[in-house]
Amino acid sequence: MSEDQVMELAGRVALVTGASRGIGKAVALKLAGLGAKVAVNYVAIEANNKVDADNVVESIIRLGKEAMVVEADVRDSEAVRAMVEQVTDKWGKIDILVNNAGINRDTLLLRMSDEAWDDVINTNLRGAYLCTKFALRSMMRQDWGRIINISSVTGLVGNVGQSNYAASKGGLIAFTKSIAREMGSRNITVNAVAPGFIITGMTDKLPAERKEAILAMIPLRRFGQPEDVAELVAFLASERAGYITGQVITIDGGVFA
Amino acid sequence: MTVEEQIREIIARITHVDKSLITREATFKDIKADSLDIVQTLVAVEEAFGIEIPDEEAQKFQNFGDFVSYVEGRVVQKERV
Repeated sequence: MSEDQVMELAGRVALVTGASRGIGKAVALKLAGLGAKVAVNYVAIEANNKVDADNVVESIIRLGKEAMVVEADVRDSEAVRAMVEQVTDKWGKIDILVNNAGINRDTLLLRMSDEAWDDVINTNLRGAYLCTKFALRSMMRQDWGRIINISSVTGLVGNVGQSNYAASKGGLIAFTKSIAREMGSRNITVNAVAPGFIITGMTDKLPAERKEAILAMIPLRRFGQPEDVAELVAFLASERAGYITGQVITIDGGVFA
Repeated sequence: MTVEEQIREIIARITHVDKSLITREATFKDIKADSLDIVQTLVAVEEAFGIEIPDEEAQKFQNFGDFVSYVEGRVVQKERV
């Protein structure tokens, strides 16, 4: 890392949803490492999430940086409003929003329950809509903002057994492009990243044979790490990415090259 | 500060237009505000006065004076409750 990148997010305030583990955690740690104050969102549905989120905040504080935990179910409008207020009350603004909170409930369409469909769409797509809507107010006031939506290659090319997830992630890309157009005049950039196979709790569940088959398709011959994605998100959040908006950047080791 | 002055301040801040141009007869078109300026103004005024301005109502405003009168009415209503 060059000297001028070391603290390039100093003075910035970031909100990362779903930051207790996986890609969100790596993003929170990376942004904090570059000097941003980071609000670490989690949802109190699973008991471990709070402990995990607290640990992320603790790691950041140990680095001598600032962080806070913010609990909210991103599907819930009032909860999101309160979360954004909690951050702006404490730090005065939000500069960077990373819509990362996401779930998957994979099954073939013929076996899919309405609940599995709604759950995934509501968390992955409605959640991003709500967080963006409320965080934008602060960004518009200062004519500066960065919104980074964590989509997926599945949102670009689809996947068997993931029609709900693919629809939510594809929807997120279309949302990204629309808000980029709406907010360009306010110096707010909106981009999406589309990770391929990244090692997280979400992908750990796959059977070993399936993982080997996937590995064989990756030109770079390794699975992605959450930190690989965090590097890209940090770049898009920085001043250096100021002329990039409405884009979706694939980060998949070359699978869809 | 009166309601009128507060709203004028908000519009001037968002549109970067001189306050003297925001007369009661002026329209958003007159001060070259785009659709985003207008919604940003509505949201800022809603937050400042703790009221909600439905789009159907906002569309009826012919000029700045209408906007001010509407907000004044809503603020009075709110104080009575």
